[in-house]
Amino acid sequence: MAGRTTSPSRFAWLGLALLVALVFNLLFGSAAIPPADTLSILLGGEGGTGSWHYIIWEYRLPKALTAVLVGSGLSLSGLLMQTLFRNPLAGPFVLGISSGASLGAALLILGGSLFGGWAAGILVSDTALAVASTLGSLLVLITVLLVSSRLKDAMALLIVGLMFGSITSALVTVLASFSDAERLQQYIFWSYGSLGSLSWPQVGILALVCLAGFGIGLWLLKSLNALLLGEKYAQSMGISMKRLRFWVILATSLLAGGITAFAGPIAFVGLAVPHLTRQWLGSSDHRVLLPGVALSGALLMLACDTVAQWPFSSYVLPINAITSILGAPVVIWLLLRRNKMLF
Amino acid sequence: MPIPPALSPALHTRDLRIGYGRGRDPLVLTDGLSFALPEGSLTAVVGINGVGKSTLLRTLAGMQPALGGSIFIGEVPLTDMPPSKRAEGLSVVLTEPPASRNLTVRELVSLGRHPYTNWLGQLGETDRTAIAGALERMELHTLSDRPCHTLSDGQLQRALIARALAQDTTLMLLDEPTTHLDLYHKVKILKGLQAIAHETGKTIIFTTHEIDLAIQLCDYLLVLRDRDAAFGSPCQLIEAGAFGSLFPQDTIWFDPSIGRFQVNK
Repeated sequence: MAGRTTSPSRFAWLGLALLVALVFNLLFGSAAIPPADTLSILLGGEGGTGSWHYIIWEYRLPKALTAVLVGSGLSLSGLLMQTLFRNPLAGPFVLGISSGASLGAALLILGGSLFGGWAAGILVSDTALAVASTLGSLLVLITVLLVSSRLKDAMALLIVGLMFGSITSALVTVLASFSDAERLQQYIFWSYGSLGSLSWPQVGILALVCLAGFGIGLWLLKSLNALLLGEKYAQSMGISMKRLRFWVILATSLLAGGITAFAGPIAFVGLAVPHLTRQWLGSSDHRVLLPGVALSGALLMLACDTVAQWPFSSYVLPINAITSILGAPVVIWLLLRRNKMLF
Repeated sequence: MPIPPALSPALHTRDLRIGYGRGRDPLVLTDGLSFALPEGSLTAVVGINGVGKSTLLRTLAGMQPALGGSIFIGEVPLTDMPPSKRAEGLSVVLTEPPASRNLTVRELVSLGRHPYTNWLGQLGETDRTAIAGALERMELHTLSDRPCHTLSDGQLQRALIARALAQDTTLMLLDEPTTHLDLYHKVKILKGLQAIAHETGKTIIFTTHEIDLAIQLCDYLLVLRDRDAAFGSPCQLIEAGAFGSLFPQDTIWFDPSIGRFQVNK
């Protein structure tokens, strides 16, 4: 699509803001490390004590990179879902992927006390949790893909996703009512979302998953633009809707499923960022929006994480709460100004 | 009105049966449809509500399967054309508005080049010429940077037709391009279609409820009635009395002397 030119300077602003947010994110944390030392440690210098070195390299940096991956990945999957369903209120989790991940996590954490025995004794490790929620979202993904090939209408798929959500939350409630307080607490903490619990290898896996999602998105760019006219027009221009739908769902599942597995369910970013990006860049062209949502998603997530850290204190607020507190008003604002919801 | 000589047809059907549902109990709307659209002609499909006008159009566009018979684009059966080839052979204008109302007119029209552009959808020189030509013909050059949601119904319809023009196909299929428009804009759209057909040699078929206008402006009409149909030039159809039985005659009757419908008062 040609036409309305997106001013490159708006991209530059996004990039600059992202850089600033990244630096801020690395500078502030519960341990008060002087900025000068932080920078010198990041640049490979010695600076300060060994524990500072450890905090920055093993905690703050992987956490910041996780924020970047989570923010841009969720935003891209939100964009994909909004275009596929041509529904401005669609987000990465409309297909029930986060519900599947929750179910996986709940079965692992809460199921232990249900089945008793040796499993009840120990609390679950983070890696086991990631595997369980990946399996959970994979299960939902496969079901959705099977259903989607039999459904003609994308809207029906949306409802199927909602139903998955209801079933899952019901099952989680049942599991919760059987489990003890300690495990319930662990599950609740998982559902708060967390960016800071990933080791370097886990960040690497998440990066690979996100890369795959973005690769598919890039490959679909042209078809996604045609889909802006509607499914029938897209078909009349030679696009196979079945194939397009398959790949969009696969990319979304990889992104949203992988992110939820490692960082827990994180709300609103995927829904709000595509709208904000459309507004800021003034375009619906996916060739502009794909890099656009990646930048602004990363930016928003870094900002939320910096707030969640509650600088200079030892409190860490749940990231999921921060994104909701910031995200929900944005969605209401978009709804009130109806034209802003156009896509 | 010059009726083009019987050139090789751009589209013809043989014993076409249209309707819904497959298997044992399909709903057949019309059966045994055989007609040929000569190149560069404008044809209207008329008939009462529910008789299958839009179904016919969707079937011709390959958007829904025929229940029987065959459709040929040039000499090639429609079912033998892969979707990408079909996209280069026929374009459509549908009743539904574009899903994204935030697209500008130029972006909307540019999407018509989809079958020809590379994987990123980059526009080349040919593409830009086709887009500019389509905008020019539909008198949209002053509106080209306006988002679709700010357009009137008539302007949006022109933009959608321009998109189909930019797709640069020999056939254009339009589903009710004149609904929601006032009489002036209906005539404007139909005269625009007539000019496209006669000047560029594209073959155009559209469904409409404007039988009076279609009789005046179209080269051919396809009159769909319950389970049968008549195809011909307006004069031929009037002489054959094809319009007389179209509506219940105690309410509306066709006056062949002026070529118009009259209401029984």
